[in-house]
Amino acid sequence: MPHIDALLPLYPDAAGRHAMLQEALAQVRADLSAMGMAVGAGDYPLARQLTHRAKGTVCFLGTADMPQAFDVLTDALRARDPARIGTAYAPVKQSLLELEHILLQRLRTI
Amino acid sequence: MPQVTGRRYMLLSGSDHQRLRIAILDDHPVITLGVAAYLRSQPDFDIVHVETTSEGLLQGLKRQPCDIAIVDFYLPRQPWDGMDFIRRLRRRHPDMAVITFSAGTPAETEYAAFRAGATGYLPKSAPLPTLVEVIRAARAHRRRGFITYADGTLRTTPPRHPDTRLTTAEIEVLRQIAQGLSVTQVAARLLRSKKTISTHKRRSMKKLGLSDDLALALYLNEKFDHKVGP
Repeated sequence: MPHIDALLPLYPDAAGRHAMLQEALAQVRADLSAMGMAVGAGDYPLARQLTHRAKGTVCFLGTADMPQAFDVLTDALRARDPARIGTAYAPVKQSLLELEHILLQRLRTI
Repeated sequence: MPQVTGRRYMLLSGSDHQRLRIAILDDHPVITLGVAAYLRSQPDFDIVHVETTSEGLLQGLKRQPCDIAIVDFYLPRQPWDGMDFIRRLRRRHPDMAVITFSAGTPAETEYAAFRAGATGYLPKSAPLPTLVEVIRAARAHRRRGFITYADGTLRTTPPRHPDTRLTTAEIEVLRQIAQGLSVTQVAARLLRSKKTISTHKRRSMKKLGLSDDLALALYLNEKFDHKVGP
């Protein structure tokens, strides 16, 4: 079960749940966009910071198995190896897209 | 290794009927909001500070101290974070328990938080009810243990340095690999099977939180570069 499902019942009304989901969705999209740009630009120190931040989002809101891909990308960024980074970035992007999908699903049910 | 349960801490902490004043710091607004919302559902918790900057938290605590601070470890765009910030908090608020709440790998973060004086460590991937258990455990075990969470269980055993988790055999295998030997060559040199050497290598990497050979190479370069000799 995604962790977001433990948070939503704490909001007493639909407006509160909607605001939380919108904020989370905006964060996931911002993380995804910023990471893509940093990786594409070869700014690996920034990409590592953003990877850590995005991992935090996924850890906190997503499912338990989602964060593993982020550690692989972090190691690749540390190594500054473009080929490995390209390979490692794909599952990270997929995790963030999955979380985006989950958040959109929950928004539709409000 | 002693294990503890949330129920026991409920009993321990419930005996004095004290409310817990809690401060939350994370540079990620969604996480601060979510943690605050979850903790507010606890009848004996007062969420006093919800901050996204380390400076903001210090100022807030100056105005109104707290019993517990839940603190993100990595705050890369801020003047203080990590061990430096935990030490700062401990100096200014020695009676406050500091719980590190981080998305960092436990191998890298847990021990650092412990050394800096944190009371406990919880990964952000842990289920939220666990955070309540850690807070209650921190209150009950203040200054008497370091609370960690692994495999679904809270523990009060201080973390060990990642290197100290390695066996002598594992260290020797890594030392040989650091000298440029392959698994096959190490096996021949140590008169062990390739399978045994591979197992030592794999277990070492798991203990050190290294995901692949390149990460291992970087680790070995740092650890053994100036220590190996002819």
